[in-house]
Amino acid sequence: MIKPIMKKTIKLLINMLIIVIFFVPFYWMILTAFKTLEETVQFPPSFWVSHPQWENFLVALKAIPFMKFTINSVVVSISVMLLQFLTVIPAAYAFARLKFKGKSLLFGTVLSTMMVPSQLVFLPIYLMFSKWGLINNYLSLILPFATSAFGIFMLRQSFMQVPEEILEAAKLDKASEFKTLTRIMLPAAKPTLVMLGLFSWISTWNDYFWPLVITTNDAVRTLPIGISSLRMVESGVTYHIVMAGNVLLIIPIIIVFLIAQKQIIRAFTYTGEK
Amino acid sequence: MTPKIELKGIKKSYDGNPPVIENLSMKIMPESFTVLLGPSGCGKSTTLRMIAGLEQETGGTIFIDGKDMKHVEPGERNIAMVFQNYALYPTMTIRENIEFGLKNMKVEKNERFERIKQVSEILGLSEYLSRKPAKLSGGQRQRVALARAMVKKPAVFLMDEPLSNLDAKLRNQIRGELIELHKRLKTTFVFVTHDQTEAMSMATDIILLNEGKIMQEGSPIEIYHNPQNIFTAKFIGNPPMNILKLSDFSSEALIVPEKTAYIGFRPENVVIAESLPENREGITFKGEIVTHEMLGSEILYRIQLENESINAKIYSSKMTDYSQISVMVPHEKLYYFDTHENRIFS
Repeated sequence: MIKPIMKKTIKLLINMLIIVIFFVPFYWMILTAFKTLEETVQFPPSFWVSHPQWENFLVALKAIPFMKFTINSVVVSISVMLLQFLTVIPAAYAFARLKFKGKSLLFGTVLSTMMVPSQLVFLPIYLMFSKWGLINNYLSLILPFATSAFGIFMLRQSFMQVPEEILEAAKLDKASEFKTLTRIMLPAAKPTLVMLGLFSWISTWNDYFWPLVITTNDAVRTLPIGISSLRMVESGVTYHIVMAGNVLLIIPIIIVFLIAQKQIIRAFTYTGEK
Repeated sequence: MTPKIELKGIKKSYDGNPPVIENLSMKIMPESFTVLLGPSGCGKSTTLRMIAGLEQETGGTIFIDGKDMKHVEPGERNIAMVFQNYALYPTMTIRENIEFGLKNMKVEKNERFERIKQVSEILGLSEYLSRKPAKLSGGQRQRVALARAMVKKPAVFLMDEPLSNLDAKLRNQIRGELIELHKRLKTTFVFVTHDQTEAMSMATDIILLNEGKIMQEGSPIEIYHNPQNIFTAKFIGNPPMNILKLSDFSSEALIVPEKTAYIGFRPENVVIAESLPENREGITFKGEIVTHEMLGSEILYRIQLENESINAKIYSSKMTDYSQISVMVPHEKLYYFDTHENRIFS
């Protein structure tokens, strides 16, 4: 009788630990965003604020060209997402359904690019881009992410789950290859597409490293860099302002997650519809 | 009459493996209900898929309406196919499923609407048109697959074991509906199955295949009463024909044609009695009843003879006990086969 209770307790403790690991930094960020400067450096730190400082957000918004950064972020992340769909969908379809010479070699090449860390290739890409004059503009932020090996791999998997008979039925129904793709394959892969879109959008939205490397001009810089520049507004790091900026940065992501929650879960538990 | 579909010297092999079909020729007549029958792996589905154009023949030629189909796409062959697993488009509603082919054929909207209305009424699908396939039962899904084929008004219906995923009762029902449909549409049906009952009940022509070769073609009656070889004799009929080696018979006065190696007779032609009748107008054995199965109108006995056992189907309401009995088969019900298992006509 004791054992099941023990098991349950341990499970609960582990779950709580996981929640703490994920939740505490988050809570700390939001909490700090509402603190005064004194409260942020106070020791021992307080885990609650009695007088939330809403004006922190105003300060953050005013301290940097917030609107400009947001627009840049939106333009870049949406463009990357659309470009990825444009390149990933045909590639995944070809790898899943067509027969051609060198297919497995090509697919292996695509997969192997996933294993190369981006820190390793950023320098050659930077040099290449600077040679082409692709620095300090939208293209320099968008082009390196125009396709996604992960996306090709995932979408290929869900394309391969579409039963062969259905595609044969489509052939007999006189459907063109394009129509088969748009009317049968893509609807069947919808959860995967939603997930890929989200992954792409979030990783571009949050990306800090590449925009920092490739841009120096505020006119094209994205929101994460803008937020980090909040640190240099006054002497010393004004953590409460930086955190207020960070909260503003993640609001769109949270909204999207809330909307697309169902699709995300389906994408990860997708087993195919009969 | 020119055949609707003609296969000439068809050969099919996969990726350099030994061919599954070596040299197959057949004619399928217009407005026939032709069943390609055979055990699994005999090449019947492959043949159907080659007619559909889903599989490329390695050699030989397929003609539909006298035209060579070598370079004709599946969508251009004026055929429709019903698959074993229905192959409905899961993300489309039933209406969209039925409509998809018509849209691709550029049929006008009003016409599409009319045709869908018509077939869904015939097949009893009208109230399900806005549902998704996942919300339908197996039988309903198979009807949708049929509707999708019918709505295109094809010259040929190809069906690849469409009933095998349905339960027995539904299978019987749809079997009846298919016969009716064939009568109503007056088009050519090509139906693949491994189930001889299905073939016998629906076909106007049966083409019996084994290992990529035609064992026999003919009407169900012809194929049942006049099997050309032991394979056909054993494949058609339930239970299959009893085949006994001639060497198993004691050398009593048995008059058989020359070269006879096997003697066959159908279970339904066996007469059993407690003792041998006086006037022997057939061959007789002594045996013992090993099992019996009451099937309703008939009783199925398994009878152990000296060396082998045979099946007997007796239409009688009286059950014979497990006991020693005598078995008689009239002469005119005997079939003779040679050492190559081919029929000898006496």
